[in-house]
Amino acid sequence: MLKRERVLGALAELAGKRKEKNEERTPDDHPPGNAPPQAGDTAGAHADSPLAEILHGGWRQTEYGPAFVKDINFPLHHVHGNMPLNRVLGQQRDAIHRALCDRKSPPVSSLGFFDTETTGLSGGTGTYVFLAGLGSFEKNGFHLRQYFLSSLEDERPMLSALAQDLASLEGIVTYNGRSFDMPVLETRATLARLPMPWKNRPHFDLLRPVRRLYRHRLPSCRLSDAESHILRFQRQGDVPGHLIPALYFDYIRAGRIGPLRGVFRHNGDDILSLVGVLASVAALLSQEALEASDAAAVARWWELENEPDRARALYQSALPGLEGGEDWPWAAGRYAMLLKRGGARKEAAPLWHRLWSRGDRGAGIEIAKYLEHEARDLPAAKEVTRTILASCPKTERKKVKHRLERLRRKLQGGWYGKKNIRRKTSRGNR
Amino acid sequence: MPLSDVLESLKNDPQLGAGFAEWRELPALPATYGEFPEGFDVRLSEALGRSGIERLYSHQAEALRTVMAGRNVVVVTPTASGKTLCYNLPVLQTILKNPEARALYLFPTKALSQDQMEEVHDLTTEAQINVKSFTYDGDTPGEARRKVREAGHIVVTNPDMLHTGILPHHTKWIKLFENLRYVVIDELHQYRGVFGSHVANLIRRLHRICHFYNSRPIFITCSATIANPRELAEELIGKPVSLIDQNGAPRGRKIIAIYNPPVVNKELGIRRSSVHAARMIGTKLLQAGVQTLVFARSRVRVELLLRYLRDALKTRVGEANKVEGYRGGYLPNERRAVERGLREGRIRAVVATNALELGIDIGSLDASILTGYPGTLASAWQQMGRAGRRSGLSLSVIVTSSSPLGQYIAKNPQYIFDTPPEAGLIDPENLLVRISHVKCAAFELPFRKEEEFGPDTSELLELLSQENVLVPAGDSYHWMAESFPAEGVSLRSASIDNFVIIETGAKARVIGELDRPSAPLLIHDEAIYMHGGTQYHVDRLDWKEKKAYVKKVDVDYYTDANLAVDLEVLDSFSSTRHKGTAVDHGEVATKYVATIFKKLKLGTNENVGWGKIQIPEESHHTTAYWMALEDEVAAGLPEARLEEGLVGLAYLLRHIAPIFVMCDARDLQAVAQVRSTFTRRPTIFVCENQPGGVGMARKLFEVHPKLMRAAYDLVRHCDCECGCPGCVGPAIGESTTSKEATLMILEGVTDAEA
Repeated sequence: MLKRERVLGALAELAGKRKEKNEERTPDDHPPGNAPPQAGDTAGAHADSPLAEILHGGWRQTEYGPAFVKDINFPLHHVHGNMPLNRVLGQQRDAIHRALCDRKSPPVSSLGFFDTETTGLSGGTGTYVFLAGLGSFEKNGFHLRQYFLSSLEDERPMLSALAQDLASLEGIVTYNGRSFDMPVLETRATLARLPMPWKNRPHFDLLRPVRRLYRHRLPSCRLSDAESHILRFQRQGDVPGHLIPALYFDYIRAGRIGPLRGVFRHNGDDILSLVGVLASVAALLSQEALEASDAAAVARWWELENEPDRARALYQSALPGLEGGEDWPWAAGRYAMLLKRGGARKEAAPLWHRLWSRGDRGAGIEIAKYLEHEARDLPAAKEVTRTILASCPKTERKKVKHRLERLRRKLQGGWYGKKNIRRKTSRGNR
Repeated sequence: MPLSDVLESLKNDPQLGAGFAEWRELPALPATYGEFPEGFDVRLSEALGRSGIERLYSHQAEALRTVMAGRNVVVVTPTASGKTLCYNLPVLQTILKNPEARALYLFPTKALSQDQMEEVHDLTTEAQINVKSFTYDGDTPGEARRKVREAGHIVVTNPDMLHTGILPHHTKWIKLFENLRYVVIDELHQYRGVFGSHVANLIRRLHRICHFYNSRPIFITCSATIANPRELAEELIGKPVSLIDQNGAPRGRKIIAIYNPPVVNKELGIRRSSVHAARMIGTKLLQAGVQTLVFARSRVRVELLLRYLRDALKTRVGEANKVEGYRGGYLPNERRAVERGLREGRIRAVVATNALELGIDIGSLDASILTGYPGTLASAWQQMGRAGRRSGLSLSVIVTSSSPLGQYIAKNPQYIFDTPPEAGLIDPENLLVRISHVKCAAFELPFRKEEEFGPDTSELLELLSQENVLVPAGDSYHWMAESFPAEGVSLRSASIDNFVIIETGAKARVIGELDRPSAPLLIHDEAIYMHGGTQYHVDRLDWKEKKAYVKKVDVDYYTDANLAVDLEVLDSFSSTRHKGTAVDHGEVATKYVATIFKKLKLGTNENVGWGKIQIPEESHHTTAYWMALEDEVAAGLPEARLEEGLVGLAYLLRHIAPIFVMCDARDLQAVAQVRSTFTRRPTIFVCENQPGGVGMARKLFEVHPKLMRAAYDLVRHCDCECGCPGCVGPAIGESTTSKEATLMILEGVTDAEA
C-alpha cells in the first residue's frame, strides 16, 4: 500500500544519513599483522575462526556455550605512561585503603580492574555491553582478559564467563562504574536471566578520589584527561570513544572485524590506566614530601575526610609554594576557614586580607566579621563592609546592608545600649 | 447572597434575562449502596468509617467484587462519585494480604498523580497500615528514585514517564514488574485521539515487559461518561473488560442554563461574543460571593476573561488577586498554588482551560460557566460536574458561541440532556505511531520473530532492520543503535518540542511554553501573546531554536492569525455513494502555512492593522473524509456561487463534526475545491490535523448521511438572512448568497429519511 511505501521512504531517508556518518567512521588504522605485545594463549582457541585470527583471541567454553575471550599478559615492569604497572603493588596498604576510600579494602593483588565498551551511553535495556575488560595481577605479570559479544545470541556465554571471573576476585575497581558500567552490566544480566555473583564483591570507583584530588587541575575528570595529566599517557592511534559503538554495529551488520582491534586496544588501555591512576592516588596520599600543588590537593582530601589537623598542616606547607599560581586562592581560602574553625582567626586574617584585595567578597565578609568581633576595630569593619556593599549582587545585598546598619549603630554607641536593654528585659521576664 | 437568589436575579436581569435559551433543573438523586465483600480487611473498612464512609456506593462495591474476581473493569461514573475507591480498595486489600504485591497507577498529568498519592496516603495513614505509595515522575528527586523502585507498593506516574523513564529501564523495576497485580488507568476518556493511540501502544509494551517477568496484572480503568467506554478500554489495554456504569453516588440539585448571546448585527448574523456574556454572568456571580469556575476554550480567551474579571472585581471590591488563571503553559508551581487556593476558598474564581476538567481536587464549587460549548458532551458534563458535589444546589451555565455547534446547542438544548455522549476514538494501528513504539519496544526487549505488536509486525521488524535500527539474530530482532528511542517519541502529539516563551529585559525569564502546532498562530513575530492577564509583544520568534522573545506591553488590541491549507489526495481507503455525492475517506497530504495576522481592537474587534507571518511551511500526511458533488447537484449553480456554497458547507461540516465524533473543530481542517484534481468534481475535504489521523475521518465517512441531515437542519432553521457564524459562516463582503448556495447544495445531498 502507498502508506507503507511512504514509511519506507521516510526510513530510507533517515538511514541514508546514518550511512554517510558510518563511512566517515571506518578508517582501518590497524592493518593486519600488527599484533599487540605478548598475546597470550587462550584455552580452546579455534584458530580457524576469523574472529580468533584477526583479534588474536579464542573461545572459552561455558555452560551456555562458547564465549570469545582474548588474553594478554603484560610483564610487571610494563610502563604505562610514566607508571610501571607494579608500582601499585609497592604502595603502602594504608595508602591503598585511603585511595579506595575503604579501610578494609582487599590487597591490590586480589583486585580486578574492570571497564566496559557499550553500544551507547544512554543506558537502559537496549544498551549492550559488547566488550568488557578485566585485568588482575598474577605471579609474573598483569593479566588482561577481554570478553567480547561475538553475536547477539551469545550474550549468556559472554556474561557468564565474565561473571565467573569477576566473582573470583575480592574487589572490583572501575572508573565511573558506580553510575555506568555496573548498572549496565546488571541490566544485561537481568535480561539474560543470569545470576550476578559479583554483586557481593566490594566495588571501588576511582572517579571519586580523582575528583577529590584533581578536580582543580584537570580539564575534566574523564579517564582520558586523568591519564594524560596524571600518568602522562598519550594514546597512539586510539579510537575515540564516541566512534566505538559504530564500529561494533559495523561488525554486527557487515562482519567487519578488523576495526575492532582498535576498540580492544582502547579498552585495554583504559584498564592499564586504572592501575596507574590507583598507584598515583595512593602514592600521593602516602608521600611525606609533596609538591605544593599536590600538597594542597591532599590537604583538601583530609579536609573532606574530616581530619582538620592533617589538612591544616598540609595547607600551611603548601601555600608558600603556591604563591602566584592558580591554586593559591582556593587553598588559602580553605586554609583560612580551617584556621577560623580551629579558633585561630588572627592567623586567618592576613589571608583574608590578601584574598579580599584580589576581590574575593566572601573573604571580605570574613574580614568584616573579624574586625568587628575579634579585633574590635569598628571603623575599619564599617569601611570594608561599605566597599563590599558597593560591589555585591542584589541577592546578597540585604545581608550586607544589615551588617552595615549594625556597625553604624554600634559606632554611635546605640547598639550596646540596645543589647543591655534586651538583657534587662529577659532577666525581668525570668 | 444564596445561590437560589442569584438564580432569580440572573433570570430577571434586564440585560441578560432574555438570552437564556434553557433553564433545566436536574433533581437531587439519592444514593444506592452496596456492601463490603466477605473477608474485606476490617482495618480498611474501619478507616473508611472514621472518615465518614460507612457503606460503599453500589458502583464501588461492584467494582471491588469484579476486580477481586480477577476481571479487568472500566468504571464509568460522573465527577465526584467516589471513583478512586473503586481502585484503591481492591489494590489495598490485595497488598494487605500479600505485602509483595505491587500496583501501577497511571494518570494523564503530574498534577493528578500528586493528588492521588495524597489520597492513598490519607487512607493508609488512617488505617495505620504499612502500604507505601510514591509518585514517580520528572519531579522525583534522584535520591528518592531508588526507594520508589524497591519499596513502593503503589507507584503513581503518568504515561510519559512510563514511556521514557520506566519501561526502557525495566530491569531496575524488577520488583514492581515481577509482582505487578494491578494497573490503574484513571481518566480513560483522556486517552483518545493521537494521545490514546500512543498510550494503547505503550500498554502493549507494558504487556511485553509483564510477560517477561511472568506477571499478569488486572487493569482497573475509570472514565468520564463517553459512548464507548468499554470499547475504548478494550482497545487501549488490548484485553476484555467488564463495564460498570450504574452510579450509586447521590447528587445535589443542579440547575443547568444555556445562554445564547443576543444578535448584535442582524445583517451579518453576528452575536455578542461568548466571552462578553461569560464576563457579565461571572461578574454577577462573583459579586454575590459565589465561588465560580469559568472555563474558556482557548488560552487566549482564558487570558481575556481573567483580565476582564479582575478588572470587574478591582473596581468594585478590590479583590482582584482572588481571580486566577489556570491552563497549560503556566508553570507547575503556579498551578499548584491555584489548586490550593481554590480548595481553601482564598481564591473566589478561576478561569481555566480544560486543564482543570480532569479530576484535580479543588473541593466543591458553587457554579461553573462554560464559555462556549466545549465541543463534546463528555467535556461539557465534566466541566459542569466541577460545580456541585453530593448535596446542595449548584449552577452551570453554558454560554454558546456563534459557531454552528454553539447555535446547534442553543436551538436544540435537548441535545445536551438526551443524547448519548460521543465515542472516544483511537487508532492504535496508526503506522507512524506504531512504528515509533515498535522501536521503543525493541529497545526494551528483543522482538521474537513471530511476536505480534499489531498487524504485520514481522514486516515492520524486517523494515526496521533494513534501516539499520534493528539486527536479526537467531529467532529475534535486537535493538542496535546508540540512540534512546523513547526520547524521540512524544505521546502527546506528533510534534515533539514545545516552544519556550522568554521575556527579555534586564532579567530574562521564561514565562511559559507553547506546543508546536499553536506556535505559528500565537507567537509569530509581532503577535500579542497573553499570559497571566498580561500582554506581551513578540519581538522575535526563533523557529529553529524554538524560542519566542517577548516583552511586556499594554496595548488596546490583540492579534489573530490565519492558516492557509493546500491539499492533495494520496489514496482512497473506501468510497461509497450517497444521494448526490461520492463519499470517500483516505489519505491526503496537506500543507499548512500561517499567512497573515490581523490586529483587532479589544472590545470592538475592529480591524486596526495586519502583518505577514514568515514561518516555514508545515506539511504532513493525514487521513481525510471527502464528498464530491455529482453533476446534477452542482448543475444549478454558477461557479462563483458554487464556490460560496462549498466554502459555507466546508465551514459548517468542520464545526458540526463534533456532534458525531469526539473531537474539536480545531482537530480538523476543511478545504473546499471547486474542481478537485483528484475527484474532478466540486469537493469538500475534512482532514484530521494529526499526522496519520486517529480515526475521525473514517467515523465521519460512516455518519455522512446524518452529518448532511444535521447540516441541512441547522442552515434551514437559522434565523439569519444570508449567512452567519452560526451556520455557513459570516457573509463575506458584498456577497449575500452564500447561505442560499449552501442550502441548494444541501438540498441536493440530504436524504429525507436520514
